[in-house]
Amino acid sequence: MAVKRPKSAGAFTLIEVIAAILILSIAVLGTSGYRYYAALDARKATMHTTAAGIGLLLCESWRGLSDPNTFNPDTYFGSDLAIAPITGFTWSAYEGFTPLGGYIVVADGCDYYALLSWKDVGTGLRALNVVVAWTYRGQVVTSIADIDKSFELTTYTSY
Amino acid sequence: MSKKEPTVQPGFTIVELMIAVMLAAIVMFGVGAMVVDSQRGWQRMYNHIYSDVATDSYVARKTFDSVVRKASSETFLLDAAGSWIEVYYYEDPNSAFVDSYARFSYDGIGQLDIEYGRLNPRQTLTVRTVCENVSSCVFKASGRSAQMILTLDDGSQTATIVSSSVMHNQ
Repeated sequence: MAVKRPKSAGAFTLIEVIAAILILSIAVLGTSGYRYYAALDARKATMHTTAAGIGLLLCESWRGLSDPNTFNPDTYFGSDLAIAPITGFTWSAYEGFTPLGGYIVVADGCDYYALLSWKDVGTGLRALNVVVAWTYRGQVVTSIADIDKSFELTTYTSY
Repeated sequence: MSKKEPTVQPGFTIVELMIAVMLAAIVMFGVGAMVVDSQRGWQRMYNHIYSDVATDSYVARKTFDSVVRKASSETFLLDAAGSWIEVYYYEDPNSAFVDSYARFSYDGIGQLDIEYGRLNPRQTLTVRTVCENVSSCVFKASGRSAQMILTLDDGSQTATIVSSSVMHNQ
């Protein structure tokens, strides 16, 4: 006499298991995605804040001099700021502005490229322009096209 | 004589249980690792913005900027070693002479202070601490602008700020 096999109950089918794995994978991928973009945006915000600070520092230091033509950030800050002239590429100033110089500032392990230029807008009145640019991934910049983002400040001084 | 059918007890075998526990452990380990890593990342970002070093450096920069920007460019005193700078300003906007002073000083042991006072006669009004955990602080001046190079270090985080401000008043 044959023994009756119990009817299978309470188990998962292959389709159910695959569906569960798929849903779990989507959840994991979604979590990874938001974490990646949260970290990336935090880094971008930090870089933007640092660039603004560098722009303000250069503007205020330049503006404080009695003769704006004598400003040389490289010697002005000395060892207080990691700054050196740009050598890798040429960076043109805005039309009508005379370039004072281009510099690389290293802050928080990132390179920031600063272009200083000026323009006489009236008798004894000079516009001082500072553009600070940077890349998000820290790649080597060989032309201005490699720049991802820039921050610009213009101030005026009498001389 | 009728043969008795075997009674089927509902339940899992030991092999099924071991496999289930192993799979659950793997899943829990993965989820736990992700949660811990998320917490560390969040803490790192939070400290980057709200730690004592970060907030103190922000306060020091804003204090230095606001005080120096309202100062007179006619005169200021700067320590030869750069450990303090004293600027003068008009407390009363109708005053023809500078009537107040503010003095930033680094005590050399971790504290940056600011002292406010009146002139003629010289009288100290208040002294307050701008920030602590200062590992180095140097003041410089050139033309009408003053600079502060400040490094903060609380043992776990370090921040260096270089701030420059123009003394705007006559």
